[in-house]
Amino acid sequence: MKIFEVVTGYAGTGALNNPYHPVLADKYALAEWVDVTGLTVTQIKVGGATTTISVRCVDNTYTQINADKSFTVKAIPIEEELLEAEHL
Amino acid sequence: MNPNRLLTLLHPKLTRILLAPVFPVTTGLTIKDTATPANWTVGAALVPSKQTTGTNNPGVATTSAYNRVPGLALITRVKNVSTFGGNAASPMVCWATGQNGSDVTTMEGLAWVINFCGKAIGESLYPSTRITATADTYFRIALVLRGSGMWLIVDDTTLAWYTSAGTNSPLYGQVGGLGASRYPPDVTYMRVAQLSAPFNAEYGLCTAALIGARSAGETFTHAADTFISFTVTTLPTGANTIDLLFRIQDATNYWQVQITATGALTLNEIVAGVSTQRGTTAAAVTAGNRVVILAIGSTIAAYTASTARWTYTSATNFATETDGELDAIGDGVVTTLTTAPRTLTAAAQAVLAQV
Repeated sequence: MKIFEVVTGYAGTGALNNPYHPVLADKYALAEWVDVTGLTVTQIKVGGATTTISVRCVDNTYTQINADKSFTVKAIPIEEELLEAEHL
Repeated sequence: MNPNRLLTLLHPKLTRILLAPVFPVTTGLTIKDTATPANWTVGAALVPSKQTTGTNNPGVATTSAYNRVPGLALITRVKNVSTFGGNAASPMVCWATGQNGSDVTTMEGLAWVINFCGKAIGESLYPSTRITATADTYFRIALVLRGSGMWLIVDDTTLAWYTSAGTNSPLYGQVGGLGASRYPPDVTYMRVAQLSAPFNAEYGLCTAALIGARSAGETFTHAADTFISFTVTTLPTGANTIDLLFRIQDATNYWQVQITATGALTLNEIVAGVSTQRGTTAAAVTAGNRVVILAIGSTIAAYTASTARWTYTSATNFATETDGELDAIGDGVVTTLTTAPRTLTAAAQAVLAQV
């Protein structure tokens, strides 16, 4: 597993059954993501906004995202195993 | 008995509190304060634990084991000592079925990690309770047993976690360690006391306690800074979801945790009816999992299956709201939904302060 930050645009309409969400989450299978930037709904509704999210995914998916010009990987990935070792 | 008396007597000789006596300490352990508060009788409460092998470092444990009773508290003033070395998961204040303080399957308590982490019997290790476990700093830690699980409290004020799985009994109170290389503790005192209300009731610290199978549409209250705990006994199927709302301002402004048939756990922020996802963990929930949402100020975090999931740190909207609702469960089954305040009530703090 890799943990890293990436810049992505938004998909969705904001409806309860189609919330605004990262485009990245539609394109790749992510084990986990969380919004880091925290744009307001008003900022998102304008359209064209991007946000930084923290992602956890398998190594192969990271490789694909890193090569995908649609997204900007911001941070050097962290091996999840290293984090677990610190806690135990 | 004086009705204002808040401590039930424990010792056969009606000793109010069991205090750390002076005793030979093992390497690396410092008992700094053996002062006896007025009106308290010192009991032969503590002996060095039996950790003697390998790189194990000493701990301390109560001489006696105690039967599990709601409100039975182990209260200790303790710090880690960075110069002693060791790993980052020790020392650990815990109730355990043995005195050696090393069997992780039967320990339940609070350990020093980057932030304090809770270890719960049957629930494994929680990576963080979001209280910075500063090195070389004393903390007063109270582990108050429930009939099942316990309350884990720091400095008499802050609920670090509460568990619901452990039912082992009898139990020894101890400051020990977790892992092969333990951080020796510095213990000022260890005390065992039977606390009165609100601690002596199974859900005494809860703001809301909805026990058993729940229904869609049920409402509850919570503190603004709160734990919300519930068990997903059965996941929904198909397009059904479990939707839990909290920090509700009104019908179109609130936070929502949503669980899908695949166990995906998502945080949604709904502002003026517009929904935005703030985090998702795939396959975070399986049938039988306890789900815990922790909302503290502008941080909302989720834990399932003994694992920290997403933590969203820009949750400034509705941060002072205190209403919740189990909005939907589809064909899933949700049981025992409880909320508990991050900061103990003044009444609860007053009880702890007497020990």
